[in-house]
Amino acid sequence: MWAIIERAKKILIVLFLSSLPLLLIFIQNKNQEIKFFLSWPVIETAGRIEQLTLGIVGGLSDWFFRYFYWSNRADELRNLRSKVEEADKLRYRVKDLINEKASLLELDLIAANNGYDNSQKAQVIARTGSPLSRMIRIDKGSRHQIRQKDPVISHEGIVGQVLAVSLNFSDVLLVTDPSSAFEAKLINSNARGLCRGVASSFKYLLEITDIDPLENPKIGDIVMSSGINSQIPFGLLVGKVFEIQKSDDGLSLKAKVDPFVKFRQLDYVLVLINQDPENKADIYSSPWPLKAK
Amino acid sequence: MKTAAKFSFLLLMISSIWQGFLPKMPTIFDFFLLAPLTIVFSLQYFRFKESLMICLLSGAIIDILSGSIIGFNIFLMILFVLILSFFNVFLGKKSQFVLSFYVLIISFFYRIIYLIFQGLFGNTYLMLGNLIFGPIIDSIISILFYYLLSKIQNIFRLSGSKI
Repeated sequence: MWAIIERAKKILIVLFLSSLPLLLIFIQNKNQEIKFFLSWPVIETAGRIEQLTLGIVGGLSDWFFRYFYWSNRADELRNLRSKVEEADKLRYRVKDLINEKASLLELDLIAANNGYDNSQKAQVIARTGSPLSRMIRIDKGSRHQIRQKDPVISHEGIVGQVLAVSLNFSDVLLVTDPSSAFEAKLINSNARGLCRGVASSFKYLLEITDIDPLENPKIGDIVMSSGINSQIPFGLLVGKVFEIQKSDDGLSLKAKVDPFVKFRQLDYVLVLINQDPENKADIYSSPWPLKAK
Repeated sequence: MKTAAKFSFLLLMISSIWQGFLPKMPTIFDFFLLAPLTIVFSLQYFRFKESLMICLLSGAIIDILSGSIIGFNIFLMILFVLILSFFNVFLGKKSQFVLSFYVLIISFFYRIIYLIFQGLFGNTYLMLGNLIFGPIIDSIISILFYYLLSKIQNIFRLSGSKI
């Protein structure tokens, strides 16, 4: 009996409570705004909590992403970058070797074309003498028949003269050194003068002094060695005139010359052995095809 | 009433946190339905009257959070609580595994009745995944849910519970 009453009570309570949601559904069908009014606090609270959760979860997932994914990707990127750098280095090395080969071949060609049978190819192993003088050291010495005052050239033009020799190495005084001097000629105007090096910390420069003003030298004139009173043979290219001034006494002219040889990038040179002026066969020979034999 | 209010507030917090996690979780977890869990938990740990009050308040929260008309889930939950109270399955202490099994069955029937009512009074979006994966997801999540809820309940000292 009591069980039936208890169950009946339950059903009554349920019936009463179920009427509330049914009433709510009925009211909402009539007026939609009731739903918004009732749901506002719930949505506001839920929204705040969800925002916080998303922030925490987002932060954690970003951290994991950065730590596991990015760090791997960063490693991969670093490896790829190092490979690209390596490839770039190889490319530059290959380019360098190609240029080196080209300059060596040109030296061979110069030696062959001009009958420099007694010539010795040498590699520049050091730049010495700075800051007081401009010199280079080459890897050939007296054992290779190199002697003092032997002229040294590159595929671009004259480099200098051998200053000191040891068994396996030699010091070469560059033409841009102030103590270097040789007779030079301006091709276009036929003017002559003494070509000396100019002391400069930043540039390799030459200067031709004692030029006769009547010869009318011009800017842009090509300068070459005259071969007079020197072991440097005739016709070796020196540089180009870029400035002409009157000398201090006003009686002659002096010209500033930009050398053709890139002294900073000198790798291989040719040493002309046994270039005694009396033994020269043809003083008009030129390494350049402009003046063919 | 106080117990039901506290419990409903806890439910709101947990479901909000869950919804906050959802964007970072697989879409299969979108099938999760809170109502069957609430029914089983309230019948197991609360008295009949408190269960009814919980259905009233939690049902409203579930309605609002799911976007359906307020009263729909309330009515269904009250109906289920009434029907289940006639059985003795929730008497005595039960393990989490058994409770999750109850959730699976109740969730299945709840979804069918939900679809029928939705079909009668509005548009029905029949998704097979809802009926197959939904109850499985509900039962799996119920294990974690009950653990969290029981721990939080102890902190808030909800009276009238059978724990």
